[in-house]
This record gives sequence, structure tokens and C-alpha cells, in this order.
Amino acid sequence: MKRRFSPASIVTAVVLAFLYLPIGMVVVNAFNADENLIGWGGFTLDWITGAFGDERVRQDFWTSCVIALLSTAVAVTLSLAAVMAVSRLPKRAGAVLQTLTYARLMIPEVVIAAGILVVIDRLGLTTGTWSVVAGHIVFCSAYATLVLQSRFATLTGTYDEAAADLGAPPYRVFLRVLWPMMMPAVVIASLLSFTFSFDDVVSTVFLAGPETETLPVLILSLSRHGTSPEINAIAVAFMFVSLVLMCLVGLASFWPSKQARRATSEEEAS
Amino acid sequence: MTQAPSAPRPGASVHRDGGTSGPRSPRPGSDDSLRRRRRWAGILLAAPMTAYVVAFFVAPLVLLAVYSVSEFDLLTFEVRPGFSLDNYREMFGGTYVGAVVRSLTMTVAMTLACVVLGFPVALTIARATGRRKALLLLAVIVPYWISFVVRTYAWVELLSPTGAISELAAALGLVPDGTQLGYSTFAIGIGMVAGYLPLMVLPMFMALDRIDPALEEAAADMGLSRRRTFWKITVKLAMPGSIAGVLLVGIPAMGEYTIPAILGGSKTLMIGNVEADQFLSTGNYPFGAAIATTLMVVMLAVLFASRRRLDRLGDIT
Repeated sequence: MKRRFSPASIVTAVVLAFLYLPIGMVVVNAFNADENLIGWGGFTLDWITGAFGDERVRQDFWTSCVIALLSTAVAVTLSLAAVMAVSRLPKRAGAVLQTLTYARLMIPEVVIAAGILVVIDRLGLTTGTWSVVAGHIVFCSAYATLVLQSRFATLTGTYDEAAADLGAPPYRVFLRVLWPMMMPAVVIASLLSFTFSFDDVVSTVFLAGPETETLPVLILSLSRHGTSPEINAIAVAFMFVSLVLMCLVGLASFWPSKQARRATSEEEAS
Repeated sequence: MTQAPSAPRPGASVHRDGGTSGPRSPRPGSDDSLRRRRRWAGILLAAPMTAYVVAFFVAPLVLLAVYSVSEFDLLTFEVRPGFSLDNYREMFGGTYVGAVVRSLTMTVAMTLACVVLGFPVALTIARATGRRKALLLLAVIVPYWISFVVRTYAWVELLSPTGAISELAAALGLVPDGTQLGYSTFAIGIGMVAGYLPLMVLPMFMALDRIDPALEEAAADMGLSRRRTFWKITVKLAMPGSIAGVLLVGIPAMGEYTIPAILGGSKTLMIGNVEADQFLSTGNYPFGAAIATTLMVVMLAVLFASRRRLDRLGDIT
């Protein structure tokens, strides 16, 4: 079994090439001076600076950020409250919450977004940034709930009840006991939900209406006419942002252990 | 993203049951009022999420189901309440049957391709050691971190007549020179496998990584051939991970919109795109609702059939 090149490792090499080749080409061609992208025409930064200077790209970038920030703020707040509610409610309520969480992730986004569009249409409201945010919260809060409850399951019913028994009012139980312990999970949930909202296409296409456009939707609509150095540059800039966000998620998941260690050492000191 | 469970301190568990017998109990009978207070706090905390989910998830889905059996006037664009199954009949018998069939076959074929390609990769990572293992794992995860739209768009270039894949295929004599490989069912398939493969490898790796190597050695010592050891021990014990991978890959594939929108061109559509067109351009809401309702029912069936498995997926997503 110690052969250097087993069939499995050859497949692995091919698969990795398959995963990285297209992305690599986009990155290379974002700096390719050859306008028709047929060969290598030398290195240039024109496309990148062009993308950053483009009014539409900048506008869409800010729209994407605003939508992702609002969706994340609401989704994480709702999820944190819901996760804290579970231990205080009958078991069946927790099971219902759990099923609704999975259902939001399993039912295709084309279905949920279409449903929200029909409701908005029925009520005679107009779509725009608010409806995109409303659509994003549906799946962002499902991811946030999953992340938060896996952390909360290890805390609840011990620390908070102990603090309450010792006479701490609810808001102090939350601020002094639960919040510090939940912080790492809240950070991870926020970063994840920001990334998913930032990168979303389907709900945005359905719910944005004619006035609102985000960066991934811009890439989608431009790519319908084939490739160009301009799209490559926008794609590379956008990819960089989502990659940085996810690296932060990766780093944040190492945080809890440290936090927990500090908490225990503080307890021992006092 | 699994977190080390923080062990409760020994002193804390004493107060768990409300502490009725303890000296700090403020007055007799407080156990009951405490429980009632907790219940009320729970209801208040759960209310915002419940209201939100009802308004923006449950109500829209119910309305879709109602629309799907309504009638649609092609001339006035009016939706009339009623009960007819015409929309469902159109879906399975009309012009769009091709998209239905394509969605089903693509989902199955793509999931199978991910299993076949993903297992060797997961196995290689699980058997690697030290820094190599961490690097290989990261190499599979990083593409998943990159924007989905960008990763899909990236294939447009490679599959274009002057792209690397087309030229390679032409050089091998598979297709005539200058063939457009993009905007086809083949392109959608490539895009889907590339897009979803990391989601297959990760749960497979997690299952494979937990297998004790001693088990495989023991099987070999007992006289099992290498091939049988592989099938009876490795594949079998990795099954929960493989099933999780199939769910993570197959479920979003069925309602896929983005990949066919970018790589499928205007002719090769999947069911998700047909549905979106009904809402975004054609304006035939009841027909779109019928497609949406069908997708929804299929997914809910899968959800209830696999609920216990899904509980274990929490730490993968």
C-alpha cells in the first residue's frame, strides 16, 4: 500500500488540476494584454484598474456589501434568539425549528425566491434592495442557526441556569455569561452568512427588480455574451474578496479553543 | 467546524434542577414560577424567527402550491383561482419534458461522477500523513471558498472554441478543430461536477479518516484479499460519509439555476431555469408554480426520509 503513485493518487492529481485549471486561467487572463485572449500578449494591469474605475462595478460592489451586511445582521440576531429559545421550550418546538432550518437549505432557492416574489406581487409591493435582503435572510439564518446551535448545545442548561440561580437578572446572564462564550460562534456565523449573501445569484435575480444589481449578478449577465478581459478582472477582484472572507472563517474556527482556555484560567484566578 | 465541548464545571450541575433545596431559593414554590418564566422567555426569544420563517418561507411556499393549481389567462395575464391540474400536465407532457428529463439524468449522472471521482481523492487525503494531509485537504476546500459564479464562469473560457479543453480535444481527434464545447449539456455537466466535487470529498474524507487502520490490517491477516478488504471494510465503513456527500451534491443539483444559466446557453435548460423564466420573463406564474411545487415536494420527501442523517451534517456545512 506504500506505492508512491497509486491509482487513487493519480485520480487526485487529475481532480486537483480539474478544480484549479479554470480558476487559474481566469486569474492569468485578468492580467493578459492580449485583448482576444487567444495567446499570451504580455502582462498588464489595465483590466484590473479598469474594473476598479468602472462606475457600474463600484456601484454593484457597494450594493452587494450593503445587502450582505443587512442580511447578516438580521439573520444572526434572529438565529441567536431562536437558538437560545430552544432549551426553554418543549422538546417538540426544538424539533420543529430544526426541521424548518433544514427545509430552508434543502428546498431549492429557485423555489423559495419565486414564492417570495409571488407574495410581493400579491401584496402589490415593489421589489428592490429590501426584498433581496428579505430573501437572503431565509438561507443565511438557516446556516447561522446550524453554526450557533452546535456551539450552544455545549453551553446551555448549565452556565446560564447557574448564573440565574445565583440571582443574576436575565440581561446580565446574557451579557456576562452567554455572550462571551457565544462570541466565536457568532463571528463564524456572521462571516459565513455574509459570504453566502455576498455570493448569491438566484435570490438576487428573482427579487432585485430592475433597479438593484449586485456584483455576482453583473458577472452572470456579462458572461452570457462570452468571456472578455474585463469580466476576468471583475471576477478576480470578486473572487479575492470571497476568498479572504472564507479564510477569516477558517481562522475564526480556531478561536473557540483559545477563548475557552482563557475563560477557565480566569475562573481559576478569581 | 467542530468545537471542543467545554466540560461543565463540577459545581454548576448542583443548581441544574432549579435549586429548590438550596439556601438561595428565594421562596417556596419558586421552582414552578421559574419554569413558567423560562417558558415565556423561550416563547419571546423564538417569536421573531418564527414570524420571519412563516412570512418569508412557509407563506410563499403555500401560495406557490395554491398558484400551481390555478388557471392562467394567456391574454390578460390574470391568475384565476380554481382547481386544475393542467399546469402539471404541461410540465410532464409539453415542450418542457426535455428539461425535466435533463434535470433528472444530469443530477444522477453528476452525483455518480462525483462519487467515482471523489472517493479516490478522499482516500488519498485520508491515507496521507502530517503536512501533506493538511495541504491536500486545504487544496480541496479552497475551490469551495471561491465564489460559485466565478468558478462556473471560468469554464466558459476553457470550453470556448479557442479554449484549452476544446483544443486538447481537437488535438486528440475527439472533435473537429474549433468546436464550441460550451453552451451544451456536456458543459453543464463539467461545471456541475467541478462546482460540487468538494462537497462530496469532505464528508467522504471525514468518514474514511475515522477508520482504524488496524481493521484493514486485521482483515488482511484473516486472509481477505486486498480487493475484498477494500469493498468490505473501507467502502462499507465510509458509507455514511458517502451518503452525506450524495445528499449535499444531489439536492442542490436538482434545482440548479446558475450553472445552466452560464454554461447552458439559451437552448440547454434545466428545470430550475424553466421555472425562473416563467416568473422573470414569460409571466406564467401558475405554470412556474407547478414546477416549483414539484421540486418542493421531491425535496421535502428527501428531507423526511433522511432527517436522522441530516442531524449529523451540522458540523460539515
